[in-house]
Amino acid sequence: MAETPRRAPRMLRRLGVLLRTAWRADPGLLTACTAAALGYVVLSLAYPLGFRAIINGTTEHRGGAVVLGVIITVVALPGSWLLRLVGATLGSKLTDQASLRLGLLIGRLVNAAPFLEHFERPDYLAQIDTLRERRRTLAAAPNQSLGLIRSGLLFAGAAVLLALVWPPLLAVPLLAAAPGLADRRAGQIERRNDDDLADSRRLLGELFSLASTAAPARELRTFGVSGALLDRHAKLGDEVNRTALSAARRAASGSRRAGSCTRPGSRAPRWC
Amino acid sequence: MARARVPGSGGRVLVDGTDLRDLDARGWQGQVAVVYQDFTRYPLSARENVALRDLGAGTGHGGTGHGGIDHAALEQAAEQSGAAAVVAGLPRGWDTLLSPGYRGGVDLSGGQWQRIALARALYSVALGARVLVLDEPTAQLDIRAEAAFYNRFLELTSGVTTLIISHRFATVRRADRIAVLDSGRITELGSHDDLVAADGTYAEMFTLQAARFAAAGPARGGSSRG
Repeated sequence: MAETPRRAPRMLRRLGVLLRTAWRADPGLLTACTAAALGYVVLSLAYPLGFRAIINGTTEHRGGAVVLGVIITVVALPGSWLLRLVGATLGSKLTDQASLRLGLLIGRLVNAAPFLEHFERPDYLAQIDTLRERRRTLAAAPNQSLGLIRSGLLFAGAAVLLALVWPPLLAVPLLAAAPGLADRRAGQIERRNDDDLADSRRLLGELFSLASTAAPARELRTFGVSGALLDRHAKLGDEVNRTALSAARRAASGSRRAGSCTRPGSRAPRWC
Repeated sequence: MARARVPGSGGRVLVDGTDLRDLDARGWQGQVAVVYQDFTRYPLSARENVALRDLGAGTGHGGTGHGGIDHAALEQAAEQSGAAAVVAGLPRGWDTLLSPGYRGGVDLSGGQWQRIALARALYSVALGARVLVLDEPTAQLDIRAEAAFYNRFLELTSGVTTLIISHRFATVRRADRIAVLDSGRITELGSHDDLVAADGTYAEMFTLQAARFAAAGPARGGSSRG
């Protein structure tokens, strides 16, 4: 509980960093994506109100309310779909732009240092490897963050609408918290696993390069060890896959337990 | 020679009278130990870098088992090439990983790597390779290490057909037969004395290189005294 006040500013800071990356990559595109996301939220929350106006107008024999409800629904329902599609297309473009910017940034940072220490220290190399491998994921983060904000606003809006219908219905959205926590735990397991496997994955790449590059391949043939090197590659690859799979299972079991928390009649998992 | 490529149609390479093209490539490669000029620096332990031909026998990166490796041959090859001193200075000895990019790994200097590469070839010779090919074997060694290597050269290559490729006359002149290659063709063939006496390309280049050392000698001595 004590961590909660510190966690919120850290999350906001991360969100700021991610959105700043996208802003520097393409400010116009980020603005368009944000506008599409907010428009989608407004329209998605508006059309249930349109339905309500139609139903109330019909039961209360108020023609004006029915017409207003129809207009709201006709505009908001297809409008929200349209903005969802536009947002997805723009988001994909935003990811490409952010990926390009991150690529340039990584290249500049790696080459800016006048020394070569970062190419020789395992901890630096592991960070550079992780950054390189996860560049696409990192680039997708601004778009995903926008999606998160959009979902949060929808969540809050839906809660207000449900409360307007019958206050106890507010409990329904809270059931989504458990899978959210499970995702967070799964992410932690995945990151730790990536750190643990960084050396093995790099060696896997190096062994593949040795076997598929002319000069080392010539030497390997001369010493008659091409097969042994491929066996080593396969064995190491199996080890990496086994460890990654085990981590994925641990992450998935956490998610399953969290999922069971949201099923009616299930026993509450220990940690949710 | 190492049969890394299919021999061309211009000329033949004969092994005890048999055309190299008629020999099984893999079988022949097992008979040849080579130190290439651009030898590979494997991200493996020092032990596996030297005993490369037994790579399948060990358990590899971070592993502890190395049952198939001939330890006596390993130590002997390391002693002969000067790699024993390199290994003695490593934090985990033979088990040290020779790549600074990994946890517990270290990097070696060019000269140290060359000793490891020489040990790799000599390990193969100890285990039965009959032909030793050395491509600029001492290019990255300092003068002292080079002299030590050549002082033991006859002992190292005893009973083995050795082919040395080099631009250094200090290296080349020790050979029984010297072939001068010019534009991909052998233009002169013979011992050092024969070729000097023939007064051809070899003699001209030898004189030029010797003159350079003669000119550099007193100047370097003077500077060190000063």
